[in-house]
Amino acid sequence: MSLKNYLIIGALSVISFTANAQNKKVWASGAARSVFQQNNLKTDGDTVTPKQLNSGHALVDIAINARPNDQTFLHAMVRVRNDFGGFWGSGVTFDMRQLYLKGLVKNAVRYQLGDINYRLTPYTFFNNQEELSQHQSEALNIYRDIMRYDMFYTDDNTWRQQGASVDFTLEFSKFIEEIEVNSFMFRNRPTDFGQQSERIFFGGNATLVQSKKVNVGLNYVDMMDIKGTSRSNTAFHNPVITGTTDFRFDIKKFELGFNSESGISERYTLNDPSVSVLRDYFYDLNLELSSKKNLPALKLNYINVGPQFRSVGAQSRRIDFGTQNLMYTRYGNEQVPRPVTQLDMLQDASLYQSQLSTTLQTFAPQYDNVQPYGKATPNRQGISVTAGYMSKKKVFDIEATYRMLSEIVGQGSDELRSFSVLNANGTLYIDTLIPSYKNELELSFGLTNQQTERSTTIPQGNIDLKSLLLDVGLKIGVSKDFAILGNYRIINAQGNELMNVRETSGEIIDFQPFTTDMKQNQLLIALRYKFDAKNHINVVWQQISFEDSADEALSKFDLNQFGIVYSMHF
Amino acid sequence: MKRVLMNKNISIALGIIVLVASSFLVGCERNTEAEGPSLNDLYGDFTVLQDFEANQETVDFSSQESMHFKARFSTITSWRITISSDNSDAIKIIEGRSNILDEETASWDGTTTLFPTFGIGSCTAELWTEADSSIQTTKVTVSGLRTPSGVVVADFENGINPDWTVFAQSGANMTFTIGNTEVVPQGDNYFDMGGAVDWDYLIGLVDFPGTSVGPNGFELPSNPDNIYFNVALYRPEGITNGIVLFRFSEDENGDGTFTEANEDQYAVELTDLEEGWQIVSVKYSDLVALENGQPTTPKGNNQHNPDKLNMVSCLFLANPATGYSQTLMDYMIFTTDGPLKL
Repeated sequence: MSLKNYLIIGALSVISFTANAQNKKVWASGAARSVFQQNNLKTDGDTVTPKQLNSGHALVDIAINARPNDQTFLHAMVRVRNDFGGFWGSGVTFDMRQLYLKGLVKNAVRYQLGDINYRLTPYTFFNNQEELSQHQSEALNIYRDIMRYDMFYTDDNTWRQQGASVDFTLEFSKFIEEIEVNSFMFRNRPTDFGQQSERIFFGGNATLVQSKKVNVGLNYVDMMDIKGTSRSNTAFHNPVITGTTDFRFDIKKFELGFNSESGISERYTLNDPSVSVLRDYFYDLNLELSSKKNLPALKLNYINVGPQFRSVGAQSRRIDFGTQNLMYTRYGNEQVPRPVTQLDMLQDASLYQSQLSTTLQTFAPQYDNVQPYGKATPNRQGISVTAGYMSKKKVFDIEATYRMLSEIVGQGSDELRSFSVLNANGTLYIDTLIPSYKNELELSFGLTNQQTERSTTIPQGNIDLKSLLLDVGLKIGVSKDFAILGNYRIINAQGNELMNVRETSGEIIDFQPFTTDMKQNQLLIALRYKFDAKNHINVVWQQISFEDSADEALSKFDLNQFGIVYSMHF
Repeated sequence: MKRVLMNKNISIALGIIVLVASSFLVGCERNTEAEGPSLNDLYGDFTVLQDFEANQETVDFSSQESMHFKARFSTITSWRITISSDNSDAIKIIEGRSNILDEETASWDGTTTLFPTFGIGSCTAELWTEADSSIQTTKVTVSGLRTPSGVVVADFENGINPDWTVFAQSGANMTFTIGNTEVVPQGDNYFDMGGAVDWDYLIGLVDFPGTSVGPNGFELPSNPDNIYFNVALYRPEGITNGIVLFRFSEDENGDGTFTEANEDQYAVELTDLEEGWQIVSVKYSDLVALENGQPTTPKGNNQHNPDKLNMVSCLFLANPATGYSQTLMDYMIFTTDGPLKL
């Protein structure tokens, strides 16, 4: 039977399922998209790299949902992808995208098996946002949403894992309202029956809710190798235990909140004396003052995260800068690796990770040198202040955060690095100022200014690294369905750093000098037509220029891209 | 009343908060020493604090002795020690990055980086340091040769053992003989496999039965994770079409012979040899069953049983369309606890 016949039968089956959805409680859902891109790379004097690069694909994610009874739900999604140019089925791939079963036992215990999105706290199990994502205008989301959908990244910082989870709540009649219990166990790595043991990640939390104003929690996670699943008798372990508190009370028109998280971690390898034991603690204290009408808000935070604090679930990064771009991987006559730009970070899914990493992954200090591993970044202490305001008639909103951090112990010296970050973003809703204008009209901006400094008696140990990100976005609604989107973003980074070179155990064994004088400018203009809320097409043109005069190996380049992006969910 | 109750709750909650928060941090101590190597060690002014020298003037590797070199610098730097035999082309290279050369960082156990192996006699050791590009030298004399421990299958020092089976096709320029004109990694002889066969991949083969090693065969231990097959191979310059296939035939039922139909035969196929001499080492448990070069299921008990090894065979092959091919072979040995170091 030909591939074509299989596709017809598959499509008919889906239609059949949908038609009987109401009776048999089986229905289809999914998403589809098509992307076509034309790229043009310009590098002075480059006679080796092909200038033009076209690519495109169409794909459909078809999910079968089944609810065989009130307590059980099944979901299986298959991806059919066809890269343009692969005629007659030769470029077609079929993949199982996700599969899970979830349900309720006796209306009391929730469970899920298979693919699961899960998170706990920022120090135990948390998928930190990637760099440059603090203020994304809608224009930049066109490609970023595709990448995030493919990588199962969500705004609620969950990691996509495979395994099982069980959640339930115990209710009480006196003193406390309830205790919420969540637990999970995921398979992080299968055994190879040789020297690589089965690795699992498990844990959970119990939150005691005394009232709406008071709750305390206990969290525990552990990444561990299971001995006996391979010939190796060594076993990696990284247990983390934390306690959380959340306490709120009212002061006239305001709500005052105090919440905290503190805990300890260990990282060790059984039966391997060459791997040092890392053991440390952290604490994170927050004080929040907010209006009950959610207008002005003020947050004060103090963190202290030890240099040997290790938490696989919280410190794993989305982007591993040790990897390479997929598009124009190498360039220039010397064919050096092309540096990762903000454009690549928006749309190259191959830079992103879906697995938890047991080591501190490579990061790019020109994009974030302060907390590259999120709040759980080791060896950081200091305060941050956040203020937010939204005007009463929703004319504008603005939020700004200032962080002032330092190391806890020095690296190679007793002198400490000091870090400062100013992060601000806001949106002006112009359409609310012009009642006669019936469509959306918005102007947004974002600013991040980072600085790292250290002075030592050894000149080579002095560090001075500054980076600036400035972002302006525009959305002009021409009609109800049609909009013009635009964004201009500058990223500049100048200075030097000493990057840590770590053993697999996490100990620093050397420092690698890093210097940069990077300038990036990205201009993006898009036309969007919405067929409905879940169905739209975008025509996107963008240009990025990159140069880093501190690195002689990297030639200046311009990259132009024209793309058509169609996406729908059903 | 409600307010009082709330205050009481707050008190309880605060008590729990303090208990929970403090319980994690009680007894926690933090290492407050600076992380990583000292900046002074990395970037301070470079001076030699202790000159380069050997810890002993004479070393007898035959009695499992090892020696080390000593030096100290004011900063961490990359360095390289090149030990050259004064009587042959044998070279040993030791590299590192530290500010101290000692037993941990700069030991020599008599092994070789570039063949031939070291002979008895004096050697010159040269230390190059990256920080000042200086070179210091010292002398050391080898009084006894290193003898690797293990089960030697063939070292070709006494010619071709009559218990071996040597087969060579009747092609052009066939050798399959003992040679000694090239550099010899171990001893004085090697085995030369060469020829052009334009009708078959097989150029020739040698069978090494266990009985050629001893009356009780190879007498290897039973743990396949701790046994390594090692052989020295040489790819001549400009010859890239050679395929060296080693087969390991097991006698699982103990009848003294390997039965192809129902006993395991494992193999390793080598196609991408570097130019010149190199040591190839394969853990016995990493050997796989092959059929026409592709992995297949072994026909016996599907377990690696080195203690039941009956015969090692070396097949030299090449694509018949590619013409003449040649590979030299020397010092075939099974070792335990790790790969061969020559």
